[in-house]
Amino acid sequence: MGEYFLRRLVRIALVWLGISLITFFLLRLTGDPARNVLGELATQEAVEQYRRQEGLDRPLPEQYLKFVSGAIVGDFGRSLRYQQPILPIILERLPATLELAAASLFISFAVGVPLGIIAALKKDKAIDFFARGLVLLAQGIPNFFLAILLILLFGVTLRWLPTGGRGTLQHLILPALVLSFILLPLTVRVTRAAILDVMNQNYVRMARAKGMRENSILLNHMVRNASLPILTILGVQAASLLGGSIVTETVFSWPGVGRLIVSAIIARDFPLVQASVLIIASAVVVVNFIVDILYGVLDPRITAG
Amino acid sequence: MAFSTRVSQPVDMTQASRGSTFQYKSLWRRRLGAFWSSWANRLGFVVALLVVALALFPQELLPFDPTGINLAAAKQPGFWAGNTEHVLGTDFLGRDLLSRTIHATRLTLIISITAVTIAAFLGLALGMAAGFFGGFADEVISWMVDVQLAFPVIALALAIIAMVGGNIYGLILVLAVTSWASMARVARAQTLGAKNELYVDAAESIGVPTRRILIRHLLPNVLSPLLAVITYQISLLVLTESALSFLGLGVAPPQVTWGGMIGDGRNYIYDAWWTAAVPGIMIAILVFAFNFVGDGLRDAFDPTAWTKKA
Repeated sequence: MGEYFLRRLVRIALVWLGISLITFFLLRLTGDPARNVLGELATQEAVEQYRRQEGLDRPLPEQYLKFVSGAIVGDFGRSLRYQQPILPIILERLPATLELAAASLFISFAVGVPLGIIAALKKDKAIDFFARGLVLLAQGIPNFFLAILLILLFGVTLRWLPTGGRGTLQHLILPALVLSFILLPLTVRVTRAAILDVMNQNYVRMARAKGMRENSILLNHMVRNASLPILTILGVQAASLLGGSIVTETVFSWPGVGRLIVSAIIARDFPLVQASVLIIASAVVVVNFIVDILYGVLDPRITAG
Repeated sequence: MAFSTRVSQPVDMTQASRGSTFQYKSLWRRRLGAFWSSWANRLGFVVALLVVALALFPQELLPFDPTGINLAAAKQPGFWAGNTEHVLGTDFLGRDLLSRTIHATRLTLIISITAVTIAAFLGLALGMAAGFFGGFADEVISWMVDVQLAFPVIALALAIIAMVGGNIYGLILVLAVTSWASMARVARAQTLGAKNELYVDAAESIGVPTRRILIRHLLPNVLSPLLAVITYQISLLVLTESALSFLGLGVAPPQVTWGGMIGDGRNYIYDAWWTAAVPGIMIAILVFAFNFVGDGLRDAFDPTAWTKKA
């Protein structure tokens, strides 16, 4: 376990270095970062002053080292728009984004896993076709379009739920539902396939032959073995979940990091954009690391090999 | 049958008497047969063709000018309210939605397909290099793939567009950047699987140059499973592009894609829901069709799929 843990840690650190490299060069993609930040209309003196003040006149490797070491201790520089350090601005929005992500994750797994299991057990029955139809639907509809439809139905026509903002549980339902449609189809699909896969394994037949109760077989043999591929979804889809939250937050005026990025882009607040993208991508890396570790816990064969 | 009659020992003729003669079919014909045997695949293929036909529709034949503003006819409902002039209604500027939707098909498809093509070339080259050469090249390329996949597509695309500015070329570039990594992954895995096959060894031993082995022997093996991934990626990129356009970071007017149309219609969902619904449904149809085709291709190219059925 120790060596496996260490190997994953090194890999994760390397990936994070790559991420920081790309976010570092994002600002430098189209030439002069000082000009990008201050805009075309800034005077030459202002640009020069900004360059000195931010250390942009130093060699690139030195700038990168400063950027990375700052990022590690949480120093992302100052936002142009808010005129204050970036970290507190993002930390203030982070709980809202995490709340939304956690809620949609809960919906995806609480609905998707049982639905996938039932669809597999009742293959080619009505419930299976329902599950497969839902998967197709959820994959085909653009997320923001679904959001508009739900706002129209539950917010405007039926007036059951608020159409935007954050606060009560009612505010959370629609955005979480919309965001869950990113993970839900894959969860159903993978669970169904995984259960179908383990259903005819020898150990399941063995358990049945020795008279084990169907429910125990399902829980102890099938679901446990199917849990690895389901867990993989979380790792693979963490990026799309957080990316999707940008759109969902914008549609529902949800005060999270995603909406912060969009407004920062519109305000051309590049340091804030840079820092937010780095933090979101770092979150994806952390989730992947946790998934890797859980993998090792759930399947001892992985850490041994 | 010709074979079994020559066997002198008594043979079980039940198979032959049922008329199941062995007929040689080429790999591609078997694959096409497997693809075409499912109604979902056929439906997806026909609908995907229709979408492409819509993109090729001559712009002069459109009933109205897709960018022609007519405020007097703004927000008219379509055929469901008995409108025979503007069958799908008009948007908040009185532009005919039918003409506009057909008009936008072309750009929507051009952007996604161009981006996927670039990404496929990039992914193929890097993935095959990683799989074939292994070692340090593999380490570096796999690292690049991991880094790329850790970025939320929308976040990275937004950031790049914010720096580059929203024009078609920037958009295509951004979409290609977000899409190459999954292609590289598939290409790498396929190359790894195929490079130890006997025919590669044989080619190597008679001195076939590496470049030729890669192109003539490995590429065909990599290309067929990649075809399914490409199909999925087209629908994925249509979704991504529409999300970017919806956020106001897509192509600039007067150019328009379906995503941009939904963004336009978003503020009028209360009194003119169809302005967002028509392009939204078009995107859904396109994604359904391409996903059906992708599923079908994946199954058809999975060697276990058609041998099981046969």
